[in-house]
Order: sequence, then C-alpha cells, then structure tokens
Amino acid sequence: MQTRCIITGLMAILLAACSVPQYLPTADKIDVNPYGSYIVVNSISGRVTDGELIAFERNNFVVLTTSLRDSAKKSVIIPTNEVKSFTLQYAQPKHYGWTIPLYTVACISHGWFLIFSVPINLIVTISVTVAGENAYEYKFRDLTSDKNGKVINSEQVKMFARFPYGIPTGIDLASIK
Amino acid sequence: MTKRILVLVTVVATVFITLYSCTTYYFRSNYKEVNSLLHETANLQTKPFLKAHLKNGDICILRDNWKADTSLNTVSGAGSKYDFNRNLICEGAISIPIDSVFIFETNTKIVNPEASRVAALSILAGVDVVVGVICLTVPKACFGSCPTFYMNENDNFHYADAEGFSNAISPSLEYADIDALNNKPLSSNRFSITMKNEALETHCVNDVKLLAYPRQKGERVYHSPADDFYLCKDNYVLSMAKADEGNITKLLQEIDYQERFSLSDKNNLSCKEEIYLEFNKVGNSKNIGLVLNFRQTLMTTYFIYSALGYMGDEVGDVFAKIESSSGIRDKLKGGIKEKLGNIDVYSWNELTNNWDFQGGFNETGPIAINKQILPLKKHSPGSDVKLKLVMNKGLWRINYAGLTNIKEKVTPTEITPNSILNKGIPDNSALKSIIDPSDYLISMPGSEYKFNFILPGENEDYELFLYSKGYYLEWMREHWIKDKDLLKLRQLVENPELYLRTEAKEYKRYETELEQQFWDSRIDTKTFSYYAN
Repeated sequence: MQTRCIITGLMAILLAACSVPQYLPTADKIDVNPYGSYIVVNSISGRVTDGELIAFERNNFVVLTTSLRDSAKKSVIIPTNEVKSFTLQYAQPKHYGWTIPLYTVACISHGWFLIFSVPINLIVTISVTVAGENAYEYKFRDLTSDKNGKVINSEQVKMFARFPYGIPTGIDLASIK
Repeated sequence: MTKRILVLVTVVATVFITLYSCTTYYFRSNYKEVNSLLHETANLQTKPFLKAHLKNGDICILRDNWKADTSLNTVSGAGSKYDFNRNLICEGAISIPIDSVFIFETNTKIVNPEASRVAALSILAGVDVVVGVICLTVPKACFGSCPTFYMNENDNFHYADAEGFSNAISPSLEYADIDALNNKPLSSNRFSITMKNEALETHCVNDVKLLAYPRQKGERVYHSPADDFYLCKDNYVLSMAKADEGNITKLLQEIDYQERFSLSDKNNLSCKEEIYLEFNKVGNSKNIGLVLNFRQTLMTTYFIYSALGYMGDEVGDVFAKIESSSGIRDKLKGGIKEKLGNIDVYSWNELTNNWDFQGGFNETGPIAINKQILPLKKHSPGSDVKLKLVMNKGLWRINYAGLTNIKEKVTPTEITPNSILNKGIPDNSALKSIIDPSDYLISMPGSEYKFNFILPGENEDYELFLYSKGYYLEWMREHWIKDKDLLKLRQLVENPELYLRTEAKEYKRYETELEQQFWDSRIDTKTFSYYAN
C-alpha cells in the first residue's frame, strides 16, 4: 500500500511536468514574451479553468482557454467572487522528475548505506523536482494584498495578463486567439 | 532506528521544502508615464527590454538599446511588433508615439534561477558517486561480510555479535572460529542466534554450535587466542594508556563505541606502533590476564579484494592452484598476514628492566568485536602492572583493555542446535547439514538462518561462545576484472614486505574517507555489552 502511494505520488509529479502550455517562455525569455501568463483558476463551485490570462478588469479574470473537444480557443470571464484560489505561471518550469528514479536506482551501489542514501536522495530529488515545477509561478497568497490573503492584488495580477490595462477598446473578446 | 530515520527524513525534507518554497521572484514593473519609466530605469547598469502595450492591443518589444525622446514624444529602438493576437507584424527599427502607448512594462532578468537546484543535484550526485566508488572498491564495507551472527536478529552488521571464519576464502583454507558472545545473564535455557549472509558470497557452513560454561554472579569466562577458556573474577580498570597521539585512557577504559585506532603509515603499511598501558593497585596481581576487545580496520579487507582484483579473469585458475598446492596455501597463511602481525603484548619486568613478551591477539575481520584474554605469564612484584602493545599501524581498532584475575582454566560444554529456522520456517535439511560433519549448509546472499539451542541447566547462567566452521567463496565482480595484475598478485604472495610498501600510497588514498564513512554511519549509540565493566 505504502509503495503504491509512493509510486502514485512520483507518477503524479512526473505527469504534472508534462502539462505546461508551450506559449510560456523559458525563464530567460520572460522579458520578450508577448503573451500573458498561464493561470489555473479554482472556482468555489469546484470548476477549474486554465489558460492564458488575457486581462484582469473590473474584478474579473479573463482567461483564454483551449477546448479539449476541438482545440478551439475561447475567452472565459470569471468573477473574483467566484474564485476560491488560483495559480499563475509565467515561465516554463524546469523538469527534474527524471532525477527521482535515476538517483534512487544509483543508490543500489551503496550497499548497506542504502538505508540512508535512498531517503536522502528521495528528499533532495523530490524537493528539487517540486521546486523546479513551481519555480516560476505565483500562488494565490503571493498575489493577495490583505492580511488574510483573501483580497486579490489586482495591480500585481494585471501585470501578468496579455493586456495589463484591460481589453483594448474595439476588440471583440471572441476574436482574441 | 526506523524512528530516527523518519525524524531525520522529516527534518531534512522540511528544510528543503521551506527553502525552495520561499523562492518567489518579483521582477515585473509597469509604468503608465514615460517619465517614471525613464526615472526608474536611469540608474540601471543593464537596460531592460521594454514592452510597450499599445492602446489598440498591439505590443512592441524593444531590445535594450531603446530610447525615449520626450520632445518628439516617441520611444524608439530595435525590436518586434505584434498585433493583439500576437501575430508578428514587423521587426527592426520601431518608433512608437508615446500617446499610443497605454502602459510600459520592464522585467528584471532572473539571474541563474536554476543554480540552487543544479547545485543541490550536483552535490548529491558527487556524494552518491563517492559512496558508490568506495563500495565498489571495498564491497565488504557496504555489502556486509562473511557469515555474521546476531543474538538480536533485527540488528544490522554494525552490531554483529560474531563473524565466522573470515580468512577461509576457499575450501582448503577452511577453519573453525570461536567468538565470545558477551551474553547478558540468561533467564531461560533456550537461546537463539541468527546467521546472515549479507555479502555477495557463497557461505559453506560445516558447523555451528555453542560453547557454554556456567558462571556465578561476578564471574566471567574468557576465550584466549590459543582457544583456551578461563574462568575469571574481579576486573581492574585501566589507569593510564598512552599512544603516539597522547593520552587514550578514556577510549580504552569503557566497553562502548569509543575505539582507539590509528591511520596507516604513508610509506609502509607494515609499520608498527606501540601503546602503553598502566594498571595501578591491582589487588591480586598473581594469575592475571589482559582482557582486550578489538577488531580490525578495513585494511585486511582491502588486501583480500585487491588480491581478487589482481587475479582478474584468472580467479578460477588461481583458486584451483590454491586448492591443489599446499605450498601456496602455506604462503597465504604466512605471507602478508605474518607481516601485518598480531597485537603483541609485553609486560614490564622491574627486576630485569625489560619488556617480557607475553603473547599476541589476532583475529581477522572488521565487523564483530573480539573479546579475548591473554594470561600474563610473568610480571613484576607489587600492585602496579605495566603493559605494552605492539601492533601494525592502521590495522587494529581497540575498544577496551582491562585486567582480571584468572580462577582456573575450564572446558565449556558443546551444544549443537536443536532446530534451525530458515526465514522463520523450520528447516530440517539445514539442521541435518550442520549436524553431519561431512555436510555443509550452503547460505546464499540474503539468507538468514536462526539456530535454536537448549542449554543444559534450566535455571543456570552461562557464558556463551559461538563456534563456527566453514569457508566462503567470494563472488567475482565484473569491475574487478579490469584490475588484473598477476605480477602484483605474485608480489603480494611472495614478497609481502615490498607489496606493503608499494601499496601504501594507493591504500592511503581512500583510507580516511572509507573508515570514517563506514563507522560514522552507525545509527544508534547503544553499548554493545551488557557488562559495562
């Protein structure tokens, strides 16, 4: 049972590493990327919306999502009072998931010291992998302005949208791709 | 042990996760006014890329050579322009009327964001490689050793109570080994000991039995290097011990995990050293014996593995020669072992002002601690006893030295096992093999056999010794084959003196690290003797 949980956890980390949109720049290219950041919004109703943050205006998130059915892009408006939490990712994470099995298997050559080296290797590689995946993102708490971490800091969030100043006048939301 | 590992893992994990989760970058700034943009970026050594978000939804990304002209009210530079859907419109020199810009954006470069993660993985890889190389060089240090015996079957090799026939690396070198178990007072007449194969070796065990002698409160029975047994009473604590490094009394006074050992000589591995021991106010200085708890460092292990490496792909041929030639066997029994020598004991004779040789201790193996007695034949009159130990530098680890009074020489009772459990299941075939002198119990890597004994007296306490007889076959490792050097092997066998000089540099290369790594890895500080003096 324990082994199954560990394997499931590791698989989740490895799989999570693959689900990042390609339009996100690498960390060294964030200053020349014309797109908005990738946002995952968890609504109070339990719905999860993810996609490019197009704008944050009038207490609404405007997110350009990709339909799984026909790959078509569609802008969705999510009022902040319906938001439970969100995560904002501004650059491609570095994937270190491969180090977990590699370093663990390498411990076989340690003989008895395996009882020490395997946990240490797992701690370091899992920590590095998790940190690598989360390195270029803001959690909900990073972008909230009150002490309780409930009120979204709109000025901070806006900066990571494709249109930091809001949807330009004259542009139809449906035409944004 | 598990609890400690869990605590350690939790602490390290918490530190790591906390450290990493604290890394949040704030690198982006927005400016609605061009003046504030100019003001904020004026003192920057490296001008950042500039993004101008236009009112119509387009974006211009200018490289670090952009400039703002407040008289013409434009921002210009080389870069790229995209439409609101981020399709590239143009590239090259761009001039943007400031009035058309809704907001300016700059981003501070995130410098080496992966440095800490890469460093952590590199350090870990380095440590893993070092440990791996050490383990491949001296597998015995990491993968266990010839049969190890445990009174507590859950212990690991750091707490082995005995190790059997360490020198018997081929059938013709088979011999019987006796180890004191240093058992605490027995509360039952049933006794068990577990034999484990924790190495890449095939163990061929001919015999395992207990040697038991009844003892009264305050009495101990000790085993001597000559395989005699002495019933003893009264212990005399060490008053002073000195070695090259200074006062080592504290290291040898107590039976604990504090061992005295030295590192080998950098020019000659057979270089000797001396330890001086003093016992004051020895109540009865007649019929005394020196009790020494000792084991070897990893030096002999290194020689065994080096020898196998030198044999390379001819290991089978060499072992066939060992089996068929008594001359070679004699050389192996003498040779390097003789050069390394015993822990020789001398006592100070005040009448002749000389050190009188008393005898020596010797037992191969770096894992289990040997507890033996050497009866002292002559000593000066008076209550003070001065002794000198002469031994090979870097070869021995001494845990305890004490004096005791010998009451009499005794003969313990031999007790054969009444049952053997193979990983918890009774194994009559194994029992038959152990009882039959012509048969062998074959123990493969990972095997565990629990030997159960019934002691003769129901309510009697016994001093117990383990008798084990057999040999083992070391498994050849693939990476050893490349170390083949038959000339070096010849030198090791024929001219050990020269070998010990020429090999000193190579051995010193890993000695400190290996010893430290091996023994510092113990995870408990429990004393391994019930008798703390």
